[in-house]
Amino acid sequence: MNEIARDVLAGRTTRVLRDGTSIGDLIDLDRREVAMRVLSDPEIHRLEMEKIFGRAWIAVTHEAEIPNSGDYVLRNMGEDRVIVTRTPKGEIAVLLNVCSHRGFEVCRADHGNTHSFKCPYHGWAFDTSGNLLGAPLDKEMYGNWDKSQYGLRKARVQVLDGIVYATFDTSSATLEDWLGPAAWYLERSGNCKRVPLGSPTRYHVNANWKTFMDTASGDDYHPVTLHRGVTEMGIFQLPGAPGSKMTLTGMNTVLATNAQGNSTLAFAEGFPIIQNFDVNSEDFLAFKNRVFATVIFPQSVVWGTITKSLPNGMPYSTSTLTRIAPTGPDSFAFSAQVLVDRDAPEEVFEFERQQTALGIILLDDFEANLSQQRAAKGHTSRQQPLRYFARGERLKRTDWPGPGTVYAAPLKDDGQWHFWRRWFQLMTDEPH
Amino acid sequence: MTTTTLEKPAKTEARVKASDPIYGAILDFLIDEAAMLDDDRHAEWLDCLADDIIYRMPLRNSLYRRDGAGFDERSNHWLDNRQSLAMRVQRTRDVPSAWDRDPAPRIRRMVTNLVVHETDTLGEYAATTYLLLLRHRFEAPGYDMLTAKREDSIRRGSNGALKLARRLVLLDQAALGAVYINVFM
Repeated sequence: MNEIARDVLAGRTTRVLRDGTSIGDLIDLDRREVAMRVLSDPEIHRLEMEKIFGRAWIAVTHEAEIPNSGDYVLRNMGEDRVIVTRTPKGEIAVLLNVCSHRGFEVCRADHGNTHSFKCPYHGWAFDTSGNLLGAPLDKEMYGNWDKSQYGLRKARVQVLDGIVYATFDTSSATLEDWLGPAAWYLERSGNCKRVPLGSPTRYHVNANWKTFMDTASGDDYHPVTLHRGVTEMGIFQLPGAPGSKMTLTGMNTVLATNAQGNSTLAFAEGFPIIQNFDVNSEDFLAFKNRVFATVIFPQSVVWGTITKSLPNGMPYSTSTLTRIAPTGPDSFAFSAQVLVDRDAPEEVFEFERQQTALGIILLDDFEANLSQQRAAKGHTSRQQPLRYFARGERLKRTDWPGPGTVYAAPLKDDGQWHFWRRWFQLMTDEPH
Repeated sequence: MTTTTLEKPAKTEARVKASDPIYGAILDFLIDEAAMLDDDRHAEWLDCLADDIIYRMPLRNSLYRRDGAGFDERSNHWLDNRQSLAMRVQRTRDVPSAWDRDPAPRIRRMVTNLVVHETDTLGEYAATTYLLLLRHRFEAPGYDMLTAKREDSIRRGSNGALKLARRLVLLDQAALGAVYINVFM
């Protein structure tokens, strides 16, 4: 029996698009291919908002961004705008930013501190937990009404390792269900001890959200070419690049994937990506088996840490919370927020404010996203497959201490294929 | 890289009139500078910078008026000194795999609304300009566009030439509408 015959996703009844194509026609589980139409079709986009973003646990912020009672930030969950607040009881609430009366946005600022959100349209006012406080002339308008019925729509909220996740899904699925084995890695990322450096950096990118998340989901084949500029600049020596002593197969990384579509890139002993990095130093050894990036389907990446050091040699670490929100079939909002150890000396915060390498690497990734999107527009191009047939079966590792399906070293497409399998599973799941 | 000092000489009430020769010299300097960047003469541009240049482009948020203009004191698109600006120049000009730079984008910087004030340091001037930056790539139907107010400190170098000592770029967009993270403003 070949692999496809045993594939749990094979033979699913799938939604049929208006032109008669089914979702199942767009993904070939045997050949591991996805038609580029999934990047540009508005019908697929609407279905994703329902089937994926309508059910997902979405990372919205770090809890330290709203430390005080009344603090709030405005965020995206899919194409929905939500207010993330700290209530007087110290809890975190995630509220749909839509007035329960006539749909005006009750919060119009990116962040701030308030005791209530008053709708500018008719004046309905809500507290930071989303409860309706009152409305002008309400006795005359509504008589003896039950205000408790008219609060802002509330999302379910869970915090894991400092990151706040929310969902409007009303099933009993918990964040742990959504994360699967990835929770184990997130819990070891140390973000509960960190605080945001500042507001998120935000960009609009004219590309489908999946172009970014696909690359992030363990595509360790692309840096040697797409990010070659980083090596040419002398910032990093990318393994496999001209002049580099390191080979791609010699990279001692592992990729832990899971059925929830999440993946973690971790570095094993000897991870040699940083130029002039002494792999035998105590600093380095302290970082062995350290998580580098955990990708949570469908929209967040917690980039972990590689040791950094101040000009005076003091080592420190940071991470970055990246969040993606689709803003249409062909655009997404990108957000990245650096997280610094709460107890780090002020010099670390000051130094981090001057770091620019991440932005330069992102330029390359966006370039790929933009190019794929331009290509995905064409009638013939939309039928062109994206290919993921480098199978990592031979690289599977059973001696790794963490959970998931674990692969050694790069040179496989399995991380991304797990992303697409999860996409297909959710897109074809009918509600229970 | 050491801790960056953002402080610049305090702007005084003394406005330098457009008829003053120093106003004309600063206008020439800023127009020449824009042309160097537009024409990929980045090495010349680096020569226009003071050794202690601080170039800052803060993040911006859209806030209620009571909470201020929304510029983030804690995080920046750019917070650069001469060394990191030189690195950006290298990425812009000399790196074969800088995919966003080849084919070369057409970038046009329109510098307007120059207002010059004296500062409390002799020979150093506070110059405010508006910048409209248009970028065109491939066969796109429109332009990528950025607007900003720039608050510069410009001083006479030891050889008499003007040098850019501080630049604060106050972007109008909160979420940047195009990928502009390595374009000099």
